Amino acid sequence: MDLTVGDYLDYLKVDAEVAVFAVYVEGFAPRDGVKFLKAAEEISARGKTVCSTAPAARPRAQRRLQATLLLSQETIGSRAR
Amino acid sequence: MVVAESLADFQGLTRLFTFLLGKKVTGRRLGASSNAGFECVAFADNLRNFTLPTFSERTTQRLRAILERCPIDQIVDAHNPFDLTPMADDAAYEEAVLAVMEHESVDVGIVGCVPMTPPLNTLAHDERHHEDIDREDPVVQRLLRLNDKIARPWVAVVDAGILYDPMAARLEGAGIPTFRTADRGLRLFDIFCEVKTLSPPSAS
Repeated sequence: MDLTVGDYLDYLKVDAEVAVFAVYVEGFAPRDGVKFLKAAEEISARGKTVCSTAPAARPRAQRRLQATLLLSQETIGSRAR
Repeated sequence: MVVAESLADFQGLTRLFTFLLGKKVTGRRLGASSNAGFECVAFADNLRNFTLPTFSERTTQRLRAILERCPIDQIVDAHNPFDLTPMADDAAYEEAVLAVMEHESVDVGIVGCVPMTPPLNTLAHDERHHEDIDREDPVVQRLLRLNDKIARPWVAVVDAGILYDPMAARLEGAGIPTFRTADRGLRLFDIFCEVKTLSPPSAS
């Protein structure tokens, strides 16, 4: 299985029937965070919402997600919360 | 984009964004009402980025008229958050929520209901009592009707135990975001308003 969460969001971002993207993320494949955030940025620019999480029960995964988001945020200049 | 801090927040935020799809957030001026004094205090103590606008004379008069009919106007003032007290009945609830949400300085709203009080019909049908939330007049049905009238985004709080799960489920099932505590409701609603304020208008 080579597909990543970034691939899925990038594919779904143009679906006119989807207004809210709820994305359960445990972690990113190498460099996938950038792809994920680029897709999220395009979705947000259309006035749609991406809601993402990492499970609190896995703090290590959550820290990795937050670190990836911060790194990606600096990389592509996106505003991520 | 919003990153939830927990699975519970993820679910709550996803429901907020889907249930309030198409609702416009024009500001953070909050219209708040509840039939419990402690919940009104909880609203005021957990405002985050919300503010509580002062009601105009017109809105105050509308609310005073409701209090007089209850009658509880001698013990309660009409201010924001508006305390209906446990003496308010289903009809008073509907009128008060509408008056608060129609106030000209209110952008968003929160409606609290602490349901274990005799004047309100808040229990699902059961042979042990005479309440039935599926009848036409109970506060649940009134809030569902109000949801069609009120264009501004608002959320509900049902702060009570499992006997009142059906009430919360009816509200959520009709698309009203419903939380079980005021602080959690305001925290997630604040995030929703922040994201919607920063987002461009939806193309969809």
